[in-house]
Amino acid sequence: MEWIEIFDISLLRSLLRSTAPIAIVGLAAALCSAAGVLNIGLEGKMLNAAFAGVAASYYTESVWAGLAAGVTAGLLTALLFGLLSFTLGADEVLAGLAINIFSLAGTTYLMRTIWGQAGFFSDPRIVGFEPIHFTFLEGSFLEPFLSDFTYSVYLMFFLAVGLHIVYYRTRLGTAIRATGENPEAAEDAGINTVRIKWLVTIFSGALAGISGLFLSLENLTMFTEGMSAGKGYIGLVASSFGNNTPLGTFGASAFFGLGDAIGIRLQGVYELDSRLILMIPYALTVVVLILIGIRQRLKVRPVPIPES
Amino acid sequence: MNKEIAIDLKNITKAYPGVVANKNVDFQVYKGEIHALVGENGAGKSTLMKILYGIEQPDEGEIFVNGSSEVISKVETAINLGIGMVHQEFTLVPSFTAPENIGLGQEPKNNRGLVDWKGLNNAVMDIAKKYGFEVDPGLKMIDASVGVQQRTEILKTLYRNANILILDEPTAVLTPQETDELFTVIRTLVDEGKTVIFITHKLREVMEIADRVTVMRAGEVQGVSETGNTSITELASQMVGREVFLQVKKDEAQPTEKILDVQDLWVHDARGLLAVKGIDLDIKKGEIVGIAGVEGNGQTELVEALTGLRKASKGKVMYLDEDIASSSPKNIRRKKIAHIPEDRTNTGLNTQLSIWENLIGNSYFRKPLSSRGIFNLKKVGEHANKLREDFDIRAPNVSLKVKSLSGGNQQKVVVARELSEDPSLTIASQPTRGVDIGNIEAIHEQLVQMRDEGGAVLLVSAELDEVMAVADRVGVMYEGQIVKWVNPKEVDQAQMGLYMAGVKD
Repeated sequence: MEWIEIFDISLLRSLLRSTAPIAIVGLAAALCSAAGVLNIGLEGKMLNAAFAGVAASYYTESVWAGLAAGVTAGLLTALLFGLLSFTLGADEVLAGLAINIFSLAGTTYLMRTIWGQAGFFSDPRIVGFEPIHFTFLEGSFLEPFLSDFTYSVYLMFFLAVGLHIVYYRTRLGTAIRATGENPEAAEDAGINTVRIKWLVTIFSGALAGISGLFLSLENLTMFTEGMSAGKGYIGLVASSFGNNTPLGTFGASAFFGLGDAIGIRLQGVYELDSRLILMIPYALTVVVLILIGIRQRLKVRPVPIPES
Repeated sequence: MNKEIAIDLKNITKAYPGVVANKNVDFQVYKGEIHALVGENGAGKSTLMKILYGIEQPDEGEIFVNGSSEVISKVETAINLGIGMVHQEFTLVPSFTAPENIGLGQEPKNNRGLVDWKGLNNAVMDIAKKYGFEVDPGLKMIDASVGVQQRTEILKTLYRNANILILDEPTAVLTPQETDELFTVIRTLVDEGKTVIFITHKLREVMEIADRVTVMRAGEVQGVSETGNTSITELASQMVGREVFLQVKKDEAQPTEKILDVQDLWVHDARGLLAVKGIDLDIKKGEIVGIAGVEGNGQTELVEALTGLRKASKGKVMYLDEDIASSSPKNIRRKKIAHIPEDRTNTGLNTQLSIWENLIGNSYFRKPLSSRGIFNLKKVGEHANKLREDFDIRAPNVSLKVKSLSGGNQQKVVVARELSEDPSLTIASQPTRGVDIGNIEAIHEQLVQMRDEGGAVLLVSAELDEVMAVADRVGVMYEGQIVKWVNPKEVDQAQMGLYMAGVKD
């Protein structure tokens, strides 16, 4: 197989699948950062939701109960983050880190005590999401691009566009951006900045929950210890790279997704060590952080000093 | 003149712990007039306006707006009564344009519930046109000049239907040209039926723009007059309460050898723009060199470059025989250069820490205050208490947090720390900002004493009176350059005003 043949429709489909969880949690991070909330705790919210989703699906054998449980887990974790940060005045970074550590240990503990499993928990009773097949697209040239994806891919597009409209075309969006940039100006304009921060925290908790849930109930139907594997952090990096805007964050997430997709494909071609492939998102994170640093430097361009 | 009364504050008293900010204050503003409220820092004018705008509540007294008694318990109430305030610190969102800032929180919606940006733009442009403002609706505030930002703030109050505008020290940050433009705007506002309260301590501006003036000192009203029936001298004596202009007792300077020689210094500001453009400046032992000028003309960046807080982009800073341009602040301090920074609470002090901790900020690492990295608390205490007495810091003990001190006493902590190390060169930037008159005199005397003992002093101040009274030689800074060197005894204020506006001769 030639190098160029790597780029085909199935790579695009693989890219979209890999992008979705990062983009959804990335958009949650972007929303928080735009309002001036540094939400490190998204990672823990994803993990709790992944666990709760599997648990609910296992006991009820209903994927919708899994969805409800996952979102609820994300919301509750967000509530805890809000209480720590806004009500009790804890440092946002410390509150987020505490939540992440607690979530990793908590889900591992529960998995071992409830199901007596270490490492991972898988069972045929766990019902996952099925891809959506659009019959009206059958035979159309659009079918390979649009049909037979799981929910997260469609949700990702909907969120990116929806949040773009909220950001730039609604009062709520301007209030969120004003809160993040200059809270005093926002307060002066009658905006309750604490309420805005709560709002984005809760909503991003639900999004992180959905993102985490799709990890355990979409392409896989199982829970593994620490299965969020840093995606919450990668989402933060993607939102930062995308200037905390919805479309920018989506684009940055797609960059991570592309790296992931190419890695998977190369593995098939060159029989690379799978551990190298698994490393790609984290290596890309470092690359992106360097790019962000360079961009910050380029922003300030000193005016040249005239020759005397 | 129309004598209908817009604002009538009666017998207002407001006390904070330890200080009465307003004492039985009566303050009347006629509808359609420009009323100046003058007084020194700490005279109580800001407190009075905060009470009118609903930020503070009076302990006693009544407020009448357009004839009816009102309780203004929050800012919203004031806004609903048609009162608008433009604070000294602007409250703008940097990445938003003027219309986005003006409409924030009250953006018009179209029938789909989305913000009608076009409608907002048109509404803002209509108001701007009516009052003769020039507005570029696409310009983000981060790229706008201070004057444009201020006009955006004024438009914001007009958009919220303000009829009575309070402008808090609006000219402090403006160049003379921008001040002229602001005055044109204010006159148009009044022509269109608005009432303007203009807070300032610059008496020349009062005479130029105001119809009437109320003078406050130490929380009390000293007098109300029509500007046509008073003079700067009279207002100044009401404001200060004794001698008319700042007087500093000092003998002729006896300058000796050159200690600092700045050669062709260029400095970029944080946004990458040139703030200092080729400055030459020298200071000798035994003299005080002053830098006058409207704020924002590069003084901040000049001082930052001299003290190591900002990198010089080009040029030399020769201190004795060594180039200290782009040296670290610690290295510069080791050479016995002291720095009284302009931003007391952020750069000058750690207000969360105690007085003693702040007092040893530049000397904690040496004996006898510490040895092998451990404080000798007994020596530290003695040292701090001695400074407290020598510099008359009014605090019961040195363990008190600095944030609980008044502005004047906080500044004394900075001055005590900086002068205690027996500096050869003292760089003092706005050393008396927010300091009451008694303490201003004390700080001036200390600077003169440094000079008389053979030290060199660079005094940077936006207060023209201060520079003229304290310095032996004065450079006027305008747009990053020193446009003129003068002997303060040989020029008058009017001439200085021209130099500060960039007129060279």
